[in-house]
Amino acid sequence: METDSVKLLIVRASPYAMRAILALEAKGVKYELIEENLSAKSQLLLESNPVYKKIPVLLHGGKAIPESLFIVLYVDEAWPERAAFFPKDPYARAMTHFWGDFIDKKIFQLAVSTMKTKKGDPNKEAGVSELYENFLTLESGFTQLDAKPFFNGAGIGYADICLAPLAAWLRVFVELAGIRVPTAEEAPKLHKFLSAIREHPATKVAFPDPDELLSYVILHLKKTMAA
Amino acid sequence: MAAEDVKLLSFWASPFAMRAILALEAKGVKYELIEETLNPKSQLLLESNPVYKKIPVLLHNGKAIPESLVIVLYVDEAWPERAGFFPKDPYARAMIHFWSDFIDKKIFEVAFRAAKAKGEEKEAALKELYDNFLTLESGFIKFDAKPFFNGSSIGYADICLAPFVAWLPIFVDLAGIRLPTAEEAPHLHKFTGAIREHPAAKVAFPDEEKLVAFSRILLHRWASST
Repeated sequence: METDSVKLLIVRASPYAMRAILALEAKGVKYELIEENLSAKSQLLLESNPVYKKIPVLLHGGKAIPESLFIVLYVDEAWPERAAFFPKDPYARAMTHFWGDFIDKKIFQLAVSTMKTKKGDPNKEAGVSELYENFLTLESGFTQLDAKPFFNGAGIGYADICLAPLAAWLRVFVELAGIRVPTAEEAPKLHKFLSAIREHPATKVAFPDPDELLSYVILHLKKTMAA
Repeated sequence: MAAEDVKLLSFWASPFAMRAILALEAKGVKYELIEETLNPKSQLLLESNPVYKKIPVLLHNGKAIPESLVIVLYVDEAWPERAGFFPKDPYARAMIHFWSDFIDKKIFEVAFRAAKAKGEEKEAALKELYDNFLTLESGFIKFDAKPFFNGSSIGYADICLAPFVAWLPIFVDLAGIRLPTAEEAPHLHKFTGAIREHPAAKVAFPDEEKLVAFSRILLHRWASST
């Protein structure tokens, strides 16, 4: 079953697609990247993810798995023999899920919605403040799971993969959403994580060129906010 | 290892607390239910869930697990010897997670949005919810639900959806929510019928009259705050 072909439908700029790539790279799985044009979605994408019609979608031997976090879960379980993304203990596993969900909702979703809010709208500043607090809360998560520097220890796991695309998108969020990140004194574990993830071999593959990313997002935002 | 001190910080009307109770009942775990008043929140709640300060929170030998879906996952793994909540195949497991997330975001969240909204916004949410139920039907079909996603016994996705059935009288009678008919969504209707009969639901679901009375107050509060 593991020798079936693996394809990943993506858009290079998407932080969610980056999670899927990181998971496959961490497991050493061979895969083919298929870049989608979101203004002209392929038949393959529409058929593979009929519910949401979004990337990323993992195609493994004809099976289609959508939604970045479930792709990461699936990759962990379909290739269980190496680089486990979760600890063994049920409580630590539950808290890994908890922090992964916090990262998704209270960091990424909030950062993206803050970015899309027009300048001058009070919700934008409220989003920036809330996000700052959430970064401080995340610090307690690193502590709870005894991150060294990753939640998963020396290797990256579920929560790390969930958070990692922040390292690629941070400059975009700061420049386009005006987000403020706590300093290295206020959030030492977060900063250690970001440094370590930038050096990780998997991100050299998963993260696009930073200038290209910024240009892409600016263009895309202009389109969506003009709509 | 798993025999011992299990407490659940709960609120009787909360659909999220109901998920945690269903999970514990399905596994046959002995637990103590601690009913929170929520106003004010207890010291135990604030300490057990400092991030969100919400119920439900499961306390197992002093360890605190918040968030209903995380609790259900934990219960499945802490008491693995019976009543497994997931299939064994990785693809089926991933799709159980997918449908549970869909249930959470596209059924529950949209239903509460429809209940709180007025006018055009309400109509749009009601239409969206109706379509989402039809999409959910496709999920039941993919899993060949008999009548549960998990087969003849309840699992993760079933536990996720089940409290909607407890809230159905409120959603339909008080919030104007429309469900597809039994012809349009036969699996959904079989599910709701089967859940009502499930012994775990008899424990987890509150008295319908009490819930209707409570929700009248809630809806009134929502209406006057907009």
